[in-house]
Formats: sequence, structure tokens, C-alpha cells
Amino acid sequence: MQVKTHHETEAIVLRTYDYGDYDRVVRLFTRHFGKIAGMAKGARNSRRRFPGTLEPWCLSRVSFIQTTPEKLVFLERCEPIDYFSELRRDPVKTMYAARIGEMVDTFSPERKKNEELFDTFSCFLSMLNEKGAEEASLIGFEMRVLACVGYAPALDRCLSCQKGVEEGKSFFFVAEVGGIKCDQCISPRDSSPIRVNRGTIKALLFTITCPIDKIGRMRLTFRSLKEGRLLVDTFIRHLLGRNLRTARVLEQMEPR
Amino acid sequence: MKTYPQPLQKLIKELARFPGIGEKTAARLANFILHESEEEAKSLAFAIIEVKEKIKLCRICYNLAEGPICSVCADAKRDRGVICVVEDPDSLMAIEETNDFNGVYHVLHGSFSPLDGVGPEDLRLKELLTRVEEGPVKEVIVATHPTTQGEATAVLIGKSLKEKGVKVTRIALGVPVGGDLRYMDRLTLGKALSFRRSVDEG
Ligand SMILES: [Zn+2]
Ligand SMILES: [Zn+2]
Repeated sequence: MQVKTHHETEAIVLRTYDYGDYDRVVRLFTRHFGKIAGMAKGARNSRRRFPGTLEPWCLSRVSFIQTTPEKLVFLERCEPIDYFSELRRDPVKTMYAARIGEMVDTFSPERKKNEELFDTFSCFLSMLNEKGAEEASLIGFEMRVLACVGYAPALDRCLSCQKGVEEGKSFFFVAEVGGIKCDQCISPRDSSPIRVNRGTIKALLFTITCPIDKIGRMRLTFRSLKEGRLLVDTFIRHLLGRNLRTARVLEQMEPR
Repeated sequence: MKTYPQPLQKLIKELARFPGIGEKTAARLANFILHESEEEAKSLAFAIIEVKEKIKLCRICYNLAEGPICSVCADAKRDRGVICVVEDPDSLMAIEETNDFNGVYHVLHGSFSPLDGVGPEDLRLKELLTRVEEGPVKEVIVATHPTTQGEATAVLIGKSLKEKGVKVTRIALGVPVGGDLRYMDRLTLGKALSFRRSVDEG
């Protein structure tokens, strides 16, 4: 006999796929169960059980039934907590939400609880919803997401001679080793190093360790924005062996 | 599947490429085709080829067309001062069925969807801009789906048409609830078309 278990938790919608004529398959990031995929029967005509809550980045309280652990869960209902409506009223905000959403989706394994990542994700969405879209805080949250899933680059000291960040002016980020090297230790054998100055490194380090609600307040100089963006993009490409889907859209949206 | 003769395996593989069709369904369809008469099978194959050869995109509005321009753009009675922007030809058909719209269309063939890697440059937005700049357009009605992508696309259109001296409106669908224009009944869609609000460019 199949054992049915009933669960309730907070969830943020990552992606949705229409299934048949009335149903929807939804990928959610939940507070207590990590990333799960659920079938929402009749989602496309039941506004009572799913009052617009099955759209990307909606935060809701979901109840679902699980039969076999490896299969889709059955979503019973999703009560809205926050629609984050502003994310759909500004294309740049839409883009930023998609970016962090794609990272959460890509870097978190199925059914692995990660409350810190959940809090980071929901804090980002609510900040983006209420305030303007700042490139610095996007980069900051990208760093924080990497840290939450155990991929924080090592930025506090030179990976070769252990010289601390305070002791040097400029460093090189080497994606292959997942960290920085000082200008004395960098060698021609290190593939495609990225020059980053101390200010950039300290700002990025701050985003990994500070309380999450402070990430949005980070300000970066024009130079640090460029360096930070390049560092994060290069590192993600190294980790995944490809670009994120949002990468090319992010380029299109860049102010010119 | 390996036990099937080679040509049948090939057909199953081709059919399994369709959205929502798995290998089992593909095998069932292939066996159905196998048991049809030669006439029937040829007629299916011919229909597939004909669709690819004869259906093109209208060079004005990007609707499906049998010639260089579609039947809507070819109709002299349509009001060229009003352009209704839709995501796909299916939405266009749904609006045509209401009989409540006498303007012309612009088909984007997609929506602003960063999660799928689709940005502003991947939609037919530039072409819309050109049409607005060149033609006698008074109003652009945005009839994208009531979804996150559809909403974001509407805002994007509002932004790019700002300062073009044209009224931009959105059909009244209420909050984005993940609905689909194509599944809306005629009456609702007709009403949504007549009660439209202006798109604030934010
Ligand atoms: Zn060193
Ligand atoms: Zn046309």
C-alpha cells in the first residue's frame, strides 16, 4: 500500500510548465524540503486553490501530498503570502528575479533542505519588489547564493602564499582554483586570470558574511561593478561548464 | 523498440520528438500509421510538407500567411490605426473569433522570458516600433497572456513606445493569474478587449 504524507511549508515558485489542457507542473523552492516539483491539478482554471500563486517568484504557503519520495508531489493549495507584483512591472526587476531564481534552481539539488538559501532568496525578492533594481546588490546576492550552496570562492587570502587581502593592492581571480592569487604568485600557467582590486574583493567578501538584509545596501564603484560581474560570471561558467540562460538576456538589458 | 523493423523505429523516433509525446505514445501512433491505407499515409505526409512549404510569416505583422501578407493585413476594411500585439498566432485566432476587433495585429512570436533566455532583442519589438513610426497608428493594444512573462512583455512594449505619440493600452484581464488567452471564452475575451487600461510605463 502507498503511504501518503501530508505536508505544509512556505514556497517560492521557480518555474512552471503547462501540462495537458488544465494542469500545471510547478518547480518550487520550499523552506522545509528544498527544491521540489509538484503537479497542480486543474491549476489553469481553479482560482480558488491557486489564486494566481503559481507564477514565478510568488511566495505562498503550500500544502501538498507526497506518495513516493522520488515522484512529483500533488499540490493541494497555495495561499498567497506575497505576489511581489512589482517584479512584473519593471523588465529590469523581472530580469534580476529571473537571474537569482535560475541560480537557486540550478545550484540546489532536489529535496535538500537549505533554509539559509530560502531566506536569502525571499529577502532578495522582497527587497527587489520594494526598492529599485541595483546591479551591485544583484552581484551581492549572486555571491551569497553561491555561498549558501557551498560554492563561495576563496577571496580572503592568496591561495598560494596565504597573504591576506589587506596586505596587497591587486589580486587575480582564477576560476580553476576557485579563489584569488596575489600579483607575486600569479603565473602564466594560471588560465584566464581576472584582475580584481582590493576594494572589489572586500565588497564581495562582505556579501558572503554580512547579515542578508545588508547585502542590498552595498554600493560598488563602476570599476568594482565590472570586476565583480566578470568574476561571478566566469566562476559560474566554470562551475557549470556553461552560461546561465539568463546571461544573454542580462547582456541585452545592460544600460548602454 | 529494438525489435521493431528499422523503418518503424525511425518513424517512432521522429514522432517522439513532439511535445508531450513519449516513446510509448509514439509507438502507438506509428503503428496506427502502419495500419492505415497507403492513400491516408501519403495524405498525412503531404500535409506536413505543404505546411512547411506554403505557410510563411506575414511580412507586415508576422501572422501565419499563405502569401507574402496574411488575410488580415490584406483586408482593406481593417482599421490600420489600431494594432493589437499578441504573443502567438493562436492568440490572434482567439481574438479573431470574438468578432470584436477590427484593427490589425502584430505577432511577437514569444514573450520576454529571461528564464528561457529570451530577451527584448529576441522578440519582434523593433519591427513593431518601425510600424508605429511609419504608419498612421493611433493605438497599440497589448494582448499578451495574463502571466508573469506576458505582463513583463506588456511593460516592455509600453516603455519602448513611450514618446512615440501613440496610446498604449492593455486588455483588461485583472491580475496576472497564469491564464491563457487561448482558453478564454469568447465573451470574456471580448469584454477584456473593450475594457482596456493604459499601460503605465513606470
Ligand atoms: Zn601570493
Ligand atoms: Zn499580416
